[in-house]
Amino acid sequence: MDVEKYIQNIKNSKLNQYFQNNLLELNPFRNHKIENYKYAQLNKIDYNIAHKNIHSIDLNIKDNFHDIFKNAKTMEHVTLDHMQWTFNAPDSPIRLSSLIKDPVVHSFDLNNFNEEVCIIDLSNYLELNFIFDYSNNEKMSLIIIDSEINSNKSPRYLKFNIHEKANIEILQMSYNKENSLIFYEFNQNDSSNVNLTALQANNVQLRNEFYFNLASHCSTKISGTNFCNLGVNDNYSFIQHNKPDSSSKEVFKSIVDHGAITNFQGKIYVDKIAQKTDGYQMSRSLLLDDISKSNNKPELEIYADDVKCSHGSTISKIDQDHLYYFNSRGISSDLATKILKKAFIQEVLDSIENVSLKQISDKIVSSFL
Amino acid sequence: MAATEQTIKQVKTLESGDYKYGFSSDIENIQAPKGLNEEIVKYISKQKNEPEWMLEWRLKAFNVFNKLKKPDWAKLNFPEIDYQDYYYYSSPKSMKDKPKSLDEIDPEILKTYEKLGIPIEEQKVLSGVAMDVVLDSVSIATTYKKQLNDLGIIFCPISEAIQEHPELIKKYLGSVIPVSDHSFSALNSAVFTDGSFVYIPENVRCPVELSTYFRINAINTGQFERTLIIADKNSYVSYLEGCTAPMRDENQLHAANVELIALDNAEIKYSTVQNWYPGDKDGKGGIYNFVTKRGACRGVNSKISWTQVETGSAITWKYPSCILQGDNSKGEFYSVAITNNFQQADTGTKMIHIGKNTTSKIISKGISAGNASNTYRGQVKIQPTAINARNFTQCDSLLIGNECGAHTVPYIESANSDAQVEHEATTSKINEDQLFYCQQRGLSHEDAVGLIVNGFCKEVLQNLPMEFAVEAKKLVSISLEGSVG
Amino acid sequence: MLNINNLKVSIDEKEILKGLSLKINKGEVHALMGPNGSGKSTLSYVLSGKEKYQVNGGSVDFKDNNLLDMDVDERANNGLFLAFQYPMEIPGVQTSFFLRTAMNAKRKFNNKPELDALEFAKELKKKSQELNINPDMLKRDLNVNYSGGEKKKQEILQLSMLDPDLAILDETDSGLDIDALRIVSEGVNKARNSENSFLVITHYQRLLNYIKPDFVHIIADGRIVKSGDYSLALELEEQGYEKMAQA
Ligand SMILES: Nc1ncnc2c1ncn2[C@@H]1O[C@H](COP(=O)(O)OP(=O)(O)OP(=O)(O)O)[C@@H](O)[C@H]1O
Ligand SMILES: [Mg+2]
Repeated sequence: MDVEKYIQNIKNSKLNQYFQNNLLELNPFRNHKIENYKYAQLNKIDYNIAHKNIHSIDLNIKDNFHDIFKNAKTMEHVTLDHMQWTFNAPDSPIRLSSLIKDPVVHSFDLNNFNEEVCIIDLSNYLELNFIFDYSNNEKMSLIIIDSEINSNKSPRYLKFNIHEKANIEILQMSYNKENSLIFYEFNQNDSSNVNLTALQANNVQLRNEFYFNLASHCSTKISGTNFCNLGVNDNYSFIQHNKPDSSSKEVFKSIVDHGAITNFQGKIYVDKIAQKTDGYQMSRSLLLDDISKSNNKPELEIYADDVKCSHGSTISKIDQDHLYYFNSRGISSDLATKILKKAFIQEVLDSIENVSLKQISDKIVSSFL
Repeated sequence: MAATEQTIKQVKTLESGDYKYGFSSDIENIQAPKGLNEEIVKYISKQKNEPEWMLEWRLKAFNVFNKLKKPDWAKLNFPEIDYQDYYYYSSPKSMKDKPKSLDEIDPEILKTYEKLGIPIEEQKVLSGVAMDVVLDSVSIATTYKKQLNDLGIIFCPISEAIQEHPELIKKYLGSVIPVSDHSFSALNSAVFTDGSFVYIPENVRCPVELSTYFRINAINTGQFERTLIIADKNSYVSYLEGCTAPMRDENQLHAANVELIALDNAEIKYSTVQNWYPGDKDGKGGIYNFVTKRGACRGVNSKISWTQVETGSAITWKYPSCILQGDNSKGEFYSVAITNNFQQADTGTKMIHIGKNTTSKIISKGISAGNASNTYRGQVKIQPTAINARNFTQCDSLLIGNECGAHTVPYIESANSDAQVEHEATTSKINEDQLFYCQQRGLSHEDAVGLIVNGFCKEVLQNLPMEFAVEAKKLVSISLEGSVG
Repeated sequence: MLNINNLKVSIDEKEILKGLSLKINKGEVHALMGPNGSGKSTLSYVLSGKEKYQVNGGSVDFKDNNLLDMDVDERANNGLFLAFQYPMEIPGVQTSFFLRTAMNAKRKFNNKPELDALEFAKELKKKSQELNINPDMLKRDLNVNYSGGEKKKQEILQLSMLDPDLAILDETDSGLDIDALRIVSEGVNKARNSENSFLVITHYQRLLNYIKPDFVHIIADGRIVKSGDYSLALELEEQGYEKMAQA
């Protein structure tokens, strides 16, 4: 693909139009109505640089998974006139339901799937919208692979209904994507547990939005990482504590180089009645060169007083003392940097509970770095 | 001199209600007609006897103001401001109308002093504090002028500086906050009435803390003061600003601009204690406080440090910022913001790193009680040129009661791989164990809360100059009175 | 082995080593003692090549090459090892993985093939047993949440695995309990042979009971002020630095 055509493709994409329609002027401290898109600035991408650096990796990632895990069966295929989005943050700028044009919804009942791990490859489906239901309290692992180049597709919507006491682990893998916008919505009922791990690499333009609605006694863990990217890579999360006694923990780690712009925007929202909420959020970026950028906006919005919420954010290069320690043991800076990059991400990989899933993920991540 | 002291005293007046400084003096005022238009801008300029160039500057700003929309990023809720409903100029007719001795002061004021722990005699001498007092719109008196004069320090009302130091005004006014920055800065540029001007010459360390007490007195007067502080090479100055306003049912408008410029090796320390009238228990009245404060570290090794204690105003919209341009320059922001009842504050800072080895530090403590809303909003931006830049940010919020909100909205942006940016934030409620411990040792609930909150704010309060620290500590406790713990 | 000649080093424009000379031959063990802040760690850092240490004068030859010209990893692969006074914690990197990477780096440098996993595991097991190190610890992240003594032991494990020509031990003894001190010293003694050399930095004569030095040097204010044999350490223990400096 020549550069001209490549750029044109992206510029003409529905996604780009979507952004352009939704983004107005781009000042800092700007109109909070479109605050959630503050850093999603397609016009800032130098596509020439991006294209030059594009990794042409065919990692057989899917094969890796398919060899071991089975595809989830489609239990139901329904068409809804109007897909209902329960998510309704008080000051959310997005009316998710109003954006949904395609009435076809692909629905999965994960309960009837009797495998410990199942895999869903989005590129196998033409539909844009998906609903997942899960109510078992035995833990299952779900892999969602998102690797298609969908520069002309509309945004996708994935909605998860996690029922009372249900227990699920989800691995979200986005890679080799040129132009993508996906909304994930999790509705967690009382005492449910969700452990979401997001591995994102080698993407040119990507935006994922994660919405969590938490009832009481829920636990939510989100661990994400983002590396080897080009262009603008955006992750947005909104964790809404609606009821008391739930906890959420989010860790997001980005490695930024080759002129990429990596953004993390996350909000913890605690409703007035959501007492005893325990919320934690950490975003860390390794910024490795001066043509790249990292933007972080962790946010707390809290209306209950008996809570423990905190967030942190750091942007820096590789710790020079660590590098020195490696050097002092005879390990070259190049190799040390590679190892330290992996070490930086390790925390995210460690959050995957299923052992074989963790091993494969580890292998895949290493092959990128 | 006498007038100054009296004003300070008035400023600290206690009257009915919970606002300890709410009384309004019966001073006959010269007022411009209500409303905002080009004629008013001309009127103000004329009253001030300003040269033609200044009037032109104002008119230009007024034009810009008309074109700009009010910034609306902040998490604040208030009705649309009717700019036509305010008086833009008001000046006391005669200095002689001011109270002359202690006897003329309401005994309640003296009680307040006691409560604040500042004996009036001590306040009188408040040695080392030179005051430039703004009562409504005109600087009434300036003290310590001679001593400062001998050092070549210029400390005068800005209206005087416009007459006497036009070269400095022309060079620096609007150089840190462009007129067109946003609508409030444009409005201020068009209608500012007074404020302080400070110039510290090369190699001079200002020996006293310079201070201003701002006070809004007349009914429905917008207060638009303008402050400009220039620290030339190798100089140092510490500046204190205190604000109070009487109690009124209507919302009063206040939109100040403060510009600081630090040249090579210069240091400016700017401290504010803001306790404008916050409105009553039901959220009626109170000041709308839209302040633009910005400092430019232009020179190498320069330093600007902001410390603020914000306890007043119905609406606070304020982001004292630093532009770290000179290599090795340093910016600091220490803030305590307390909101109670129906107060809303959206405050924080911006640290823009441009030069090499620039460092910034942000310590923010927000306390929210009653039905109040308290937001920290801050931006740390590392430009590609800012090699080896460092930032550390710590934001802590405390919630007292279950009807209030505390929010943290940091923007952390880096485009330099040699920079290091660190941000930490926490939100929690007041520690029950500490509360219990204090109460067990005989402190009342309110005193215990005051004590704990003071501890929570210590890191910021200890940055205040001595004269202010004592008062600020008391203020912290007083502001939270009546809040349910 | 090592020849330091009139070395002057500053950090942040503050001069710390003010003309230090020291010669260490093959097979020798030298002890370096001196008051806090005299520049012992600075010497070890500058020898290992840590950045920000500015060399203002003098020379350092290591195995007949100019040490100061080399990068940090080059020095290490040439056989210089520094056991740190404060070993670094590195989250996300498993200790055993780190050790293996370091050993392979050295082998590669010497044009030797990589160690196979089994061989490495055997070697690691043997060496860690000698040092009484719990193998589970090696699965944890490098030095993360290790106790002070465990960190020091881990450094010595690295030393024995990497088999350097010149090892600098910067206060390896502090933080070790009595048993650990004996075990660590035995480890060092085992590694000792006629081909390698040691520079042992310590505050306590006790360590030198275990690791017998051939020479003892006293450093004060960035210079070697006194050199002698083992008896100097005993003398020092009795009199303290103050008196010794006067004498
Ligand atoms: N990064 C630095 N910046 C400024 N001064 C430093 C730095 N590192 C070391 N120093 C100073 O250099 C001097 C020598 O320090 P050094 O660590 O070499 O001492 P030492 O002899 O190892 O002391 P100890 O016995 O306490 O370990 C001390 O005064 C120390 O404060
Ligand atoms: Mg030392």
